[in-house]
Amino acid sequence: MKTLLASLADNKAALGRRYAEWAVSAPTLESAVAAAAMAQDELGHARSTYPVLKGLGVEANEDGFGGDKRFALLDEELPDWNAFIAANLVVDGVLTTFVASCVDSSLTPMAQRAKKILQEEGSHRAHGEAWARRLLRGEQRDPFVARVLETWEHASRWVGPDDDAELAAAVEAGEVSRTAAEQRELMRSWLTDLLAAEGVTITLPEPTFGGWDAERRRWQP
Amino acid sequence: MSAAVEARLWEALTEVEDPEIPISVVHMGLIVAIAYADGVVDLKLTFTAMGCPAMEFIQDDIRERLLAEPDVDEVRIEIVWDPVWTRKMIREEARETMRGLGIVA
Repeated sequence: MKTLLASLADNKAALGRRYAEWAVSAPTLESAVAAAAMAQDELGHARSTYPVLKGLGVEANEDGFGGDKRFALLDEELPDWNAFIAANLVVDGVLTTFVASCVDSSLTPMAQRAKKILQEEGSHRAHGEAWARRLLRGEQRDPFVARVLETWEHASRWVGPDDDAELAAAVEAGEVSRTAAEQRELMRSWLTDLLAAEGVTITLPEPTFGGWDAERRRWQP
Repeated sequence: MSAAVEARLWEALTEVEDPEIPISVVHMGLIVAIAYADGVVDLKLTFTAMGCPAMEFIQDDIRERLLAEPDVDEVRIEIVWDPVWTRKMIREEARETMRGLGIVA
């Protein structure tokens, strides 16, 4: 659970930074404000998760960009608005699916935070879904779908292989309620249904784990 | 004795306002619990949002106000996220003030 939580916090810190970079350049004023608000939320989630790690005896980097257990695609700025919305849906979605699996965690400090994080993530999901529909109905459809698939390559691996030892141990201990396969399938069905409703059929592949760094929960293409 | 002091501490904190809205931290529903014993206050505090930029200010203001009470020597603040803050936790009298300011509550 320690690496999972460290990576959750690091990814939220990094995602907050990446969201914030779009707060001055999003395509509409409303979405720029939303990017700033979501950035603030993500940084707050990171800041609130690091103390859980400390409680487990892990000294984590709480400052600035967080630690290095983050998705490779968050190392650099999100290159365009399609990538931003893909991250909003898929990166935020994968992390939130994990948090939702911690609501009844036997790790009480995480269970307490999970409820609040989920409350705040509701608006992130609404933003991502609304923008996805908008992009899928316009000329950005194909580039956006390509970004979703690219982001899936990174985010779908975060929970690890179906027999991921750390997650399996967390499930066994009652710290997390869903296995890697269950979390991945929840994400896959949500995304494919969202795109199918707009007439776009995609196949989100089952990831392989060459290039997977379990210590950083990170896949390097 | 403790109950009387705690009641007074709750009342004292009605003087500490949220820096963003002129509503006290008590009326906003941010104070979850106060316990007093032997000069020490253990206070459970929540925030409207995990990314609240005023967290430090609010804690400083709470600590300063409570330490102004003659029988308080130490204030220990624990930030809690359960129960989750919602608008329902805003006290009714504060809603009136907020509506007067044009804020939906």
